[in-house]
Amino acid sequence: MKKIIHTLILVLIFTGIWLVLNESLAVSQLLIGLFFSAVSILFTNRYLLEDDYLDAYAIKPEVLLHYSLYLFIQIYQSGFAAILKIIKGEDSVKIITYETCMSNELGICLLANALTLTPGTVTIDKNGHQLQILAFQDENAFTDITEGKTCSPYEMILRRMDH
Amino acid sequence: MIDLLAYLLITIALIFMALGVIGLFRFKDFYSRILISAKIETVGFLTIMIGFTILSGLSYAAMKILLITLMVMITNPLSTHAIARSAFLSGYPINQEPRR
Repeated sequence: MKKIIHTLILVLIFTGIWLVLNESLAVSQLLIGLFFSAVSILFTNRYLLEDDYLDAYAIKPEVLLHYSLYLFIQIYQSGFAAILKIIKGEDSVKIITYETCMSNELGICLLANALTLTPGTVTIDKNGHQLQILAFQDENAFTDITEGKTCSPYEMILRRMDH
Repeated sequence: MIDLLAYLLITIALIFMALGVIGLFRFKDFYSRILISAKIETVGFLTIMIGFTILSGLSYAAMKILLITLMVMITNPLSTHAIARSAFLSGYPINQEPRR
């Protein structure tokens, strides 16, 4: 029952995107949208994913919202910090080997994505739970594996996906 | 008033982008250039798209702009990641000025 409800929510989201792209709220467009949304989810589940769509992309809406808001703030904060670096000409970089606190693959990918979106850090490699992060020399939000273990604020948010 | 806010955001975005381009020329190391180019992609792009959304008002165009922004925010890091990763795996050294 829970699975059906989650699938229906996805169908409604995809139908919304269809209506926006077609710029119409006509009943015919709504029906076509519902049809193609359902077909695309079934096709993805059947042929494109090893796991079920809902298992592979299971994320709580409140976690996603919190993650998005935090990411938005961080993007601008780091953006302003990067301006200072440009003015001062501080171009010294380092590569950090960082071990994540998360076990969820989607969570690790979201973390890697957030790091690359934030000016001043780029994820350059992922090996299991270890990420290699390219960062400016004064970056201290992500500690190197040799300096001891601390969870970054991103992980504290994304870890809530596991529960 | 709303239009003024939109134009202000677009102007801020253009300033961000201009500073990013200055950074690209100012920094000599490949990896620091990659880090700065990510700034243009994210901060500049996000701000200019918010400006365009406000300028479009509550319309299908605004919703399309938001959809495009969402898609770009998901896919954009992949290109930066791919370029940095290929340089790292091919053994490109960090903190080294390129030969002229």
